[in-house]
Parts: sequence; structure tokens; C-alpha cells
Amino acid sequence: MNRLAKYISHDSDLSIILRYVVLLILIVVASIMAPGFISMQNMLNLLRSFSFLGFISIGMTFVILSGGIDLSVAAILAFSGVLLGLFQHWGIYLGHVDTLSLLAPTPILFLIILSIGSIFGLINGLLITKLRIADFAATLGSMIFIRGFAFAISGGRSIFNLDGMALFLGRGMVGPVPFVAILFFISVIICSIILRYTIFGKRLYATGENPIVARLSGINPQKYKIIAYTISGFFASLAGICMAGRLNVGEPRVAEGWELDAIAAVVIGGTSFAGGKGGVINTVLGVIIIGLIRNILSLLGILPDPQEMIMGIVLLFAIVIGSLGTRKGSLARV
Amino acid sequence: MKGKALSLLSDYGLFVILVILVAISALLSPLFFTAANLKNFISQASYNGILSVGMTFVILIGGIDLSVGSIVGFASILYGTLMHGNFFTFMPNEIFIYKGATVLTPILPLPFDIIFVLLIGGLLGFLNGVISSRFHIHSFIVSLCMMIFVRGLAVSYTNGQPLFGVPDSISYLAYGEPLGIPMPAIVWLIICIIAVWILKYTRFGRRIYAVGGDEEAARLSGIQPSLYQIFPLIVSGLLAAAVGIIMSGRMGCGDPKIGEGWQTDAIAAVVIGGASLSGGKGGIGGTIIGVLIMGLINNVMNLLEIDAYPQQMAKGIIIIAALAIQGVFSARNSND
Repeated sequence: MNRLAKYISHDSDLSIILRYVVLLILIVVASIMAPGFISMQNMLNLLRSFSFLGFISIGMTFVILSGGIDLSVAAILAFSGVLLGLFQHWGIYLGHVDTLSLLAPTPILFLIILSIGSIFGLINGLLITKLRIADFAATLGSMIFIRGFAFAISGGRSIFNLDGMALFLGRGMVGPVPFVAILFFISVIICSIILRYTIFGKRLYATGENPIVARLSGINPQKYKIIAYTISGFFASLAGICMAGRLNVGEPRVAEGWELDAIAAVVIGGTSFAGGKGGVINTVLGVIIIGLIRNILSLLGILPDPQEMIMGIVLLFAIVIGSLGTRKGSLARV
Repeated sequence: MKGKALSLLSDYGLFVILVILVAISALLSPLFFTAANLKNFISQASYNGILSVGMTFVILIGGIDLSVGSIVGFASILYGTLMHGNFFTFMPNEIFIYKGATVLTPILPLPFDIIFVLLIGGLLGFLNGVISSRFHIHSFIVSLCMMIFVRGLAVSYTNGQPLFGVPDSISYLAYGEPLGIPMPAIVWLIICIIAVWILKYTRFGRRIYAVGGDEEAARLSGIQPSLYQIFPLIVSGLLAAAVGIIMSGRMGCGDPKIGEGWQTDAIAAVVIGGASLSGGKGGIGGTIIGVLIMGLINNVMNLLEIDAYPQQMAKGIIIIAALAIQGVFSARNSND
């Protein structure tokens, strides 16, 4: 067992190769089942559908690198979408629902929503570090609260029709490439530069690897953990805005259970639960693997409920693989 | 000595909060102190109460079980299936169309069907425990996967349809009132007594506290931790299955969608009751008060006709607040 753990654990080159083999197998399976799978157009479409999960997985990467875990991302995603819908239908409170009535110009709305998402993340970080609540417990509480908040402000309704700029964010194409995919890849590049080549990134890894050692070498681990959670909140609300644009609706029920998909994507990508190892590029690989599995299940014509059941096993398997060779590190207190 | 005084104070404080909440509820709604509402309140609270006993065991070893809500639904539909043996002869799509016929064709005789469902619940808990303990993954994430898997299994198995018809003995478990006390409350009480006995008066229970308090120290003093890490999750799964059976009796059907989100109520109750999420601290007494407080808040919000969504928000805030108070207290203690 230990030998197996050593082979699959994060240090060996074999583990990276193993992930690419899995990816290759998935692509082969998918292309056998659906002849049009390999076409350029389908690839670009897939790229778009991966991007939404991709955004929250980037944020989750920062959090898991810092030794934490964030269960509230899917709730923040839904909340941001609802908020965008409400801000663009401000007249909903005056009784006319379907006409657009913007609270402010759309870019400003985006900024407001992104900062609200970041503030949720900041609050998570503060709860965890200052009040010493366990990571998963604090974010579980805020997940329930934020999801309830999204339902409460929308009255449980879906808010249809958004304006052109919001739609472009989710559906727009630049040439043949979906805009949201471009946004995703820009985010990936920026984040991996931050993680690899800046002092902030190096200190984040140090915090995740061993908070006590980090503190003794003059790093304030609490600060880096708070920043990681804030980044996660930011990306969750970015995903929420894009998702609302894609679906053309602000919907409080959207993305239920995605927090687990994001965690699994990060872990499949090879970022260790114990913190301190991995990166954003790895996460992209994980996102593609998770997305392909869901895509193949849909191609097989499996209904949503059995799909959830299968995903439950897949995610469990992924997390077991991702945790081989680590101790119970995900709950390291700062 | 000082710590003992503090813990006494915190127990006492909880009780005071409960009394204050009862007083506020009575003031807010004249309906509160009616016999019907009190009976309703206590039987509603007992479902969460039974789950919370299992959750207390899990939290005592520093774990958490998010799969209990799904196991409730699974146990309920499993029980419904055992009551409708003739359905097995049809094709799945025909089985689950409700034809108005509630003729029972039990597969197993009475005590064995209940035992079977309880065993399956225990088995699911056992899987949680083994995976979590063997691979050193925190149980919250294992049980999160299990939650999705079990719910998917329960719902896809019947296409989300309930299976109608349960025997009278099971309805009695939910609606019976011997001596005027609702039956679920009696079940809850019996389970609490057994749990207190295990935790306080057996070597096994004290070792659960030891493993939860400090796994390494427990190992060094000759305790095999994995056994004590798996057992609480088995208890939790088993009690969730019990709740599923009683719920089937309450609704008169096996419903795969029942119990969604109940795990958070149970966690909240245990945490309000003073248990520490890092393990080793807490007990059934505190949990009972926690359950009553949670039930009271639910009951009053329902009496005041507050929407479901603000209720959900309130639940999130209550969990965070209870944890925050605890965190501040433990920070102060460790600074002393």
C-alpha cells in the first residue's frame, strides 16, 4: 500500500504521466462514442463549458495551497448570478419584471458584484483565522447562509434576460474562440505567474506547507490565508457572472454541489491536500478531466440523478488518490 | 479546577439560553404553549435529536458526517422497497408509477426488515469510516462524496418517486403517543440513554474521548485509533437509517428526497451543545440542549410564518456564531 502511495503521490513523475494517460483514455472513449467529438468546434464548445468550473477551481487552488478548503464557492457563484440579475432588473422591486432597468452601467455592476464576492471570501478568511473556526465548518456555515441569501433576495425565482454585455461575457465569441475561455486562460496565466514568480506566491506555498515554520521565518500565515480565501471569493463571483451570462438568467439554484467538483479538479490535478504543492496549471488538467467525465456520462445518455451517483464515486476515488501519502493535512490550523 | 468551573458555567449558560428562548417564544406566539404545538415541537426535534446523537459520536473523534441526510432518504426508500416485494417482478419504469394501490407485500417479516435497513445504514457509515481512517482523509470530505452518491442512488433508483404504503407498526413509531408522549421522543430518549451509558460508563466510550482529544497520545498509550475512528461513523449511519424508517412511518411512504440538508441541523445542534470540532470535547447532555434550541428556533420561525429562505440564512448564521463563540473561548483558554 505504501509503495502504491509512493508511486501515485505527488512527488513522482509517474503521477503526472498517470494523469495524462487518464486524460488520453477519456478523449479516446469520448471520440469513439461521439464521432464529432474531435472536431475543432466541439473542442471550443467544451472549452467554454469547462471555463465556469475552471474559474472556481483556480480560486480553490489558492485556498488548498494555503492549507484550507472552501465549501462556499458554489453558493457565492449562485449569489453573484442572482445579484447580476437583480441589479439589471432593478425595477423588479417596482413591479415590472421583464424589462431591463439597470441600477448602474454594466461594468460598474460587474465591479460591485466582484467586490461583494471578494468580501464574502474575506469574511470566510477572517472567520477562519481570527475566530479560529475550522476551515470546512466556517465555509459550510457561510455556504448555507449565502445560498439562503441568494434565494431570499430573489424570492426563489429565476430572473430572466440580461443585457448585451453580460451575455457577451458568457456567450460571446472572439473569432472562433469563446470569450469566457479567453478570460479563463488569461486568469490561469496571471495566477500561475503570481504563484511561481512572486514573493506572494512563494510565501503562500510556505504557509500551506507548514504554517508554524512559516511564522517562525517571519511570514504572517494568517494574512496569506485570508488573501487566498479572498481570491477564491473573487473567482467564484466571476464564474457566477459568466454563468449568468451564459444561461441568460440569474438563478439561485445554479451550480449546486460544484464546490466538490472544484475540490476534486484541484486534487486530480495534483495539488496536495496537505497544502504547499501543486499549482494552477495542474488544476486546468483536473478541470478538463472532470469536465470530460461529465461530458462522457451525458453522451452515454445517463440521466442527471444516476450521473450524480457516478460522480460521487468518481470524486471519492479522485480524493482518495489525491490524499495518498499525506496525513490529515487539510485542516491544518494557521 | 478553573476549567471545570468554566465548563459548568458553559453548561449552565446553555440551559439559561434555552429558558430565555422558551420565554421569548411564549411571548412572540400565543400558540407556543398549546399542547398540540409542544407535542409537535418535541416530535419534530426528536428526528434531529436522533441524528445529533450519531453526530456527537463523530464530532467527538474530530470528524464530521455530512452523509446522514442522504442516508435518511436512502433508508426511507429502501424500507419502502422492502414493503413492496411484488414490484421486483416488473420493469423499473413500471414499478415506480403510483397506481393508488398500497397493498403491502413485505419481503422480510417485521423485525428483520427494520434490522436490514439499519444494517445497510451502518454499512454506509462503515464505508465512510474505513475510507477516512485508512487513507487519512478527513471524514467531512469522504462523507460529502458519500452524500452525493447515496442521494443519487436513492433518487435514481425510483426516478424520484415515493413508494406509498407502510405497515401500521411503523406509523405507530411516528404517530403513537403512549402516556401522551410522542413515540419519536421516546425513541430519542432511549437512544440518548444508551449513548450516555456508552460514552460515560464504558472503557470504549472513554477511549473515544481519548482518541478525539489526541490521536497520537492515544496511540502511544496503547489504543488502536482506527477502531475508535470507524465506530462513531457506523453509529451515525445506523441512527440516520433509524430516522429514515420513522420518517417513512410519518409520511406513509418511502421518499428518496427526504432529509435534504438535515446534516447541517445536526451539526449545528452538536456545536451549539458545546462540542469542539477538533474532537475530544462534548457530550450527549449538551447535544440534547442544542437540539432543543435548534428545534425551538425552527418552531418559532414557523409559528411566525417566516419564509424558508430567511430561515436557511438564520441557520448559517447560528452555526457560524456558535463556532465563533467557541473559538473565542478556546483562544482565551489557551492564552491563560
